[in-house]
Amino acid sequence: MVDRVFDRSNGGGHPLDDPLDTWMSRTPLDRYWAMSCNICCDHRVSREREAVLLRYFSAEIGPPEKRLEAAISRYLLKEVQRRRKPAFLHRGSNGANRFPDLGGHFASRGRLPTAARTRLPNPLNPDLWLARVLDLNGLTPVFLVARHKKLRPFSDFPRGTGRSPLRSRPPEVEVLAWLDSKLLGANKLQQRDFVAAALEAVELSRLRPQGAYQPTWATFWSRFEALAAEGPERWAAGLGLANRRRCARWLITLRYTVRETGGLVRPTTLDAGFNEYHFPSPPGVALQEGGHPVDLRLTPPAATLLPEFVHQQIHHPFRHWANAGFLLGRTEKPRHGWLVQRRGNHLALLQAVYGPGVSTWMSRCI
Amino acid sequence: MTNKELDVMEAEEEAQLWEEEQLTAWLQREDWTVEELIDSLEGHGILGITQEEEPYIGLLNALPEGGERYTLESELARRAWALLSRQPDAQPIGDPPERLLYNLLMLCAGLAHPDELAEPLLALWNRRALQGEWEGLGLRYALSTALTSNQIDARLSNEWCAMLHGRPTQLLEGIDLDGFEGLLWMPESSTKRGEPYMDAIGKALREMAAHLEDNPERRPQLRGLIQRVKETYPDRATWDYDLLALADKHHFPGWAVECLPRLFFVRKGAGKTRTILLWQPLADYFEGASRQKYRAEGRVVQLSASEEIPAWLYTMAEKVEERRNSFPCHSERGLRGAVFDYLGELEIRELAHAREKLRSVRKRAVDENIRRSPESRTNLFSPPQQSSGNFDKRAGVRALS
Repeated sequence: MVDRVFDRSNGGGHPLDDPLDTWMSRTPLDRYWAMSCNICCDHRVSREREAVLLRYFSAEIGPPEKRLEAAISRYLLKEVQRRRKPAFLHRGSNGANRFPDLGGHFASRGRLPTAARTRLPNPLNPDLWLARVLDLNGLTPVFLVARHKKLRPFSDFPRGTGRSPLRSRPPEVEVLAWLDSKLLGANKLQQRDFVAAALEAVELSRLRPQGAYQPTWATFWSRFEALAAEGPERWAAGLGLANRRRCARWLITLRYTVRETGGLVRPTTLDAGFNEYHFPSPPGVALQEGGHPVDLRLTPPAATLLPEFVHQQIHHPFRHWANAGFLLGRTEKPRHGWLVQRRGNHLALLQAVYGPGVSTWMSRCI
Repeated sequence: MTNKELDVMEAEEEAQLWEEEQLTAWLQREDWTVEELIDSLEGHGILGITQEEEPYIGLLNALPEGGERYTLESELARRAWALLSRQPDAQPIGDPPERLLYNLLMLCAGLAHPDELAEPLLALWNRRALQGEWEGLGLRYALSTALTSNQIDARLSNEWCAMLHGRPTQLLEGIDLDGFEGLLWMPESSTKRGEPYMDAIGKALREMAAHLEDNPERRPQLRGLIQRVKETYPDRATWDYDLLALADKHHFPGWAVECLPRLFFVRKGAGKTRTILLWQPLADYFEGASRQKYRAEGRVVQLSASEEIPAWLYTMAEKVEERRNSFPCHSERGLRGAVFDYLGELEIRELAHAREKLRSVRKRAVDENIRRSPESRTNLFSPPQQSSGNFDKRAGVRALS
């Protein structure tokens, strides 16, 4: 029986008790079980954000577990992905996951005694570098808009079977074949032209009403650098980018500064939507460590934790790709399934880094 | 949380959005004037009349967060540059001019956009004309704050060092902690922005340790500063080892070495060989390991072990690290006392299988420490000596004996 929600004691009468109990007791252990663990244990979700989720939950109809699933997806769509100011940026409801801002930090100087100043939380240096892996196959909606606008490299982007030119998606295999035709066997200059056009298309899409897509997931470049040298399979696995389809994926890596994000935030389960590969970070971990993506490599299991952060979608000029050394790659392997093993490896790594208290916190989940 | 509370929260968000829209609209206007910025910094401009807080705080808070912030922030920085280029320090503007200057400088500090603001702020510093104060804070102090967050290279190194050492600076004002922050935020060169300038940070920490030497709260305060270093550059995965290397290189005092986040490192060598770095009072526990050298004023011993290290030794060292890191008092002997107390508990509770072995090593160290008078504290720095816990009047910590 679930005894807490978002790592707060539920007092035995929480509206989410029933659906979480149902998910928790599922066998074999599946994505619903993983999501119930995340919702029970993610201390990073504030009471305010929980209250908004409950509004969506109570507005849904049907059996409680279906309502919760729908509420999580709806919360992501309405409060995070499509919102002008996504919920994770709100000072009031997500303050614990946000870094102190520079203005506030420097305003306190000279007005506080030394001892008090040394205890104040410190803002991030805005010149730190971040890394982001962008899945080109996932840009289908963006490419559809670009084709509709008759932009050059997208004019032959495959059509879907539906009537709407912007909403009917072509099959994954056709998207892959189209990307292969543009990138496989192309010389460096042609590849650069294509990626430049793709980034422009992303920006064009971002500026449309309802075109923004939040959140963007990023890690520190200095921590990602070791993976960068190991090739695209490791970029994707290391950052926890699951590939549920059987198709290969084309990935690029972008490098940009914290300053350009307009606000870096530690993510929560609610910012990841219904994603069983998300795993909350343990209580007591410094904000600067962010969250930690589940490394999807099974053997050998990862030995280090990467930090993960989210920010609002931003403009990625071509230089962001150039800053990363024009990293482009095609992944072949599916990264899906083996959920218990993958989450188990991650939990073991969290224990190794943060101590045995982690297993008490996540006791029900492995 | 009730629906009413949620409604209040949403109303506050709407008010915030209104301010963001006002500022955004102004920043997107091409026909703006410097006078509009002056009015805003005097509290009656773009965002209406500001009375409760300094106007620069309102402007910074009204910058929308997220995707558009960077563009808008850069534009506001360019407009601040335009106002700085009127040389308000030499040709007073505003009524009173001190309020405008204070708010302008603090706006620059909060924006932290060195690409636009570093050079005009350095030009202001070079003119040496700035004087006066606003609401009890010197304008030169505000300039120090603005320069701290808008550095592109190490040009101000001497100023920050002078501030840190309590020597007169050329123009800037501040206490040692401000000098420390100046060095902490200072890149080594324009191509190394976003990277910590390790040498400067090492010197700054050593100097702060010297300042805190007699402070009863020296340990928590120094730990706070070390934490600040890590928080400013959290992307560096090797901080714990780097800090030990800095302590070694810059000769941190012994107690300051004992404030570092980690003094226990194991590195794999060829075959089963392990190089172990660990806090000196624990060295005797690693029997069979040869001592190679002492580091960081003798507080850390480098050992070489040719055999596998038993797991319980790792457990013990890790737990002692936690205890060392939470010890709050000034006293060095108190620290050892507390740690040896804790080792006694560990022997009983968790490492019972190795109890006799552990106890013999601990007892030897404790006995030796009892024979040492409190005045000989500084002698504890000499590497070959053993130190251990006993009763320390100042810290009020009793160790097992």
